[in-house]
Amino acid sequence: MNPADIHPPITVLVVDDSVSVRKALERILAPQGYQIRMADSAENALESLEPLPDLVLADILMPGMSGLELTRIMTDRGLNVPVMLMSGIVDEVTQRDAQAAGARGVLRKPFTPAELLPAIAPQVQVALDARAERGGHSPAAAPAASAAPAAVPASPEPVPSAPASAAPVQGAPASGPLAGLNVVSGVEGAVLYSADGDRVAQFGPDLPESFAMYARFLVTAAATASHHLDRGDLGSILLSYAGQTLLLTPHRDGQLVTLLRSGDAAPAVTRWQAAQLN
Amino acid sequence: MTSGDGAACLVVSPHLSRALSHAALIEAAGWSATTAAGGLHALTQIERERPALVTIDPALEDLSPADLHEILRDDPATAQTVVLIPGAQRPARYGGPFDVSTPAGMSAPAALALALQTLDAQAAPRWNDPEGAALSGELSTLPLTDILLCAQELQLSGLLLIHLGAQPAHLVLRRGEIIDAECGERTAPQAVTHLLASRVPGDYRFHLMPPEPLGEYPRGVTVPTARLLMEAAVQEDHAAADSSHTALEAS
Repeated sequence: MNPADIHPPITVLVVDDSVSVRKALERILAPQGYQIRMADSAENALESLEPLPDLVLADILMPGMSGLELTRIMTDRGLNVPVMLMSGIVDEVTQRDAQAAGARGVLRKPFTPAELLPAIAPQVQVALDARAERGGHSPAAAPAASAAPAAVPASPEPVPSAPASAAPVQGAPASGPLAGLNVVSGVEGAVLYSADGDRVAQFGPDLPESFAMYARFLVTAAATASHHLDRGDLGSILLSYAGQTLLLTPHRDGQLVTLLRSGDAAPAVTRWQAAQLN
Repeated sequence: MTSGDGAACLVVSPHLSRALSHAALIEAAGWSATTAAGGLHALTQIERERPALVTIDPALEDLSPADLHEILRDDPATAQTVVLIPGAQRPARYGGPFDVSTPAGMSAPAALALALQTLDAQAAPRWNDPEGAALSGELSTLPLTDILLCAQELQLSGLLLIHLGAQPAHLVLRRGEIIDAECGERTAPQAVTHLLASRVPGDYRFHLMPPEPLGEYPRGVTVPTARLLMEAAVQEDHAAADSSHTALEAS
């Protein structure tokens, strides 16, 4: 979705103690259609939350209150505003702390516009949903982006290996969000993740726990790419490896990962999914 | 936040090979250097690394060189950072005490040397100083191929700065081998071919360097210099044959 097409424009509050970084972000984001507000500290950011911005982009390491603390306070206050954090050091602890504080992701500094824009683009839909919720009306007017919340792996590690072999479908659901998927021809298992990366439902072989992050990242990146390609919303991603095929699709506000015997089964899953969503 | 423990120099250019080459030249001169692909990349890096010198490619894409320069000057943390923007197109605010002014047509190594002299006049290379060259002259009296044959024979290392009219260019040699070249927007191999084929009057300066600091230099030119010279000789023979053929036909 092009932020320039959204009215009123998406307001981004940039919080960074470096005036250079604030100005650079303003000059990169404003031409994309974002409206930029700036704060030089987390304390000043808290004072300038009225009117609420649609999105906050905050440095973690700042004199005084940190970006993490700012995120935590905003979460505790129940402010429904997506926060993306920025930091020079993004390790597992930072990622975990950011997630615990309620941040949508952490961008590793230094970054280029080619890294920044795809990372914040998926937050636009989240911001629009939040805006609609605050305004008490449906977000239907917003373009129907399929992007899920982005946890941006600053240095994506290799995708962990998925099940080594296709086991018989186990724990097949008769009800719940995956009901009926197990009988779709060619499906050997599936995991449904929520917007926060929690496993909502599952049957068939297990996926590694960390795969939730990769599913989110891959779907988000592909959704963003599909907008850039101007070919409409993302349909699905097929990952083929070692004789296995994974189908990744946005599903409601999360992601559905389906283990297939082959890519030929993908259209049937898409039809099942369409039936579920209609 | 500032840590200030980064490289002394930051080379900002959207062209990675050029950024790496200039960073390698700075490192060969004795300073640490790193690269950034654009203005935002640079500013999110400068914030942490606090380089003493920032060189900005006039072909910057995400922010204009003027934008980046203005942002650096308006930030108290970088107001006194030395900035080099080579080329004739300079931002309106460029020209302050911490901006390196280079004459039009100056080669990239000469401009880098001038910038490094603002950091440490004693330790910086003198690539901008004709007096500092081991060999200099007109290409009409000693053609480029002869200079390169001589450098090969003597296994010389250093910078060969060339001016073809107003166009600056340079070759980097290590133990007589061309390892990199720059001439306008051409790639390094294209630059070598262009320089060897050029018949435009010009001059040259050869600044000797020890080979060791060039050991880590990223090679932009991988074809052996002997082969390049041989190809240039063949081209020259063909050109001479063509011109005599044309002269015969005309008579």
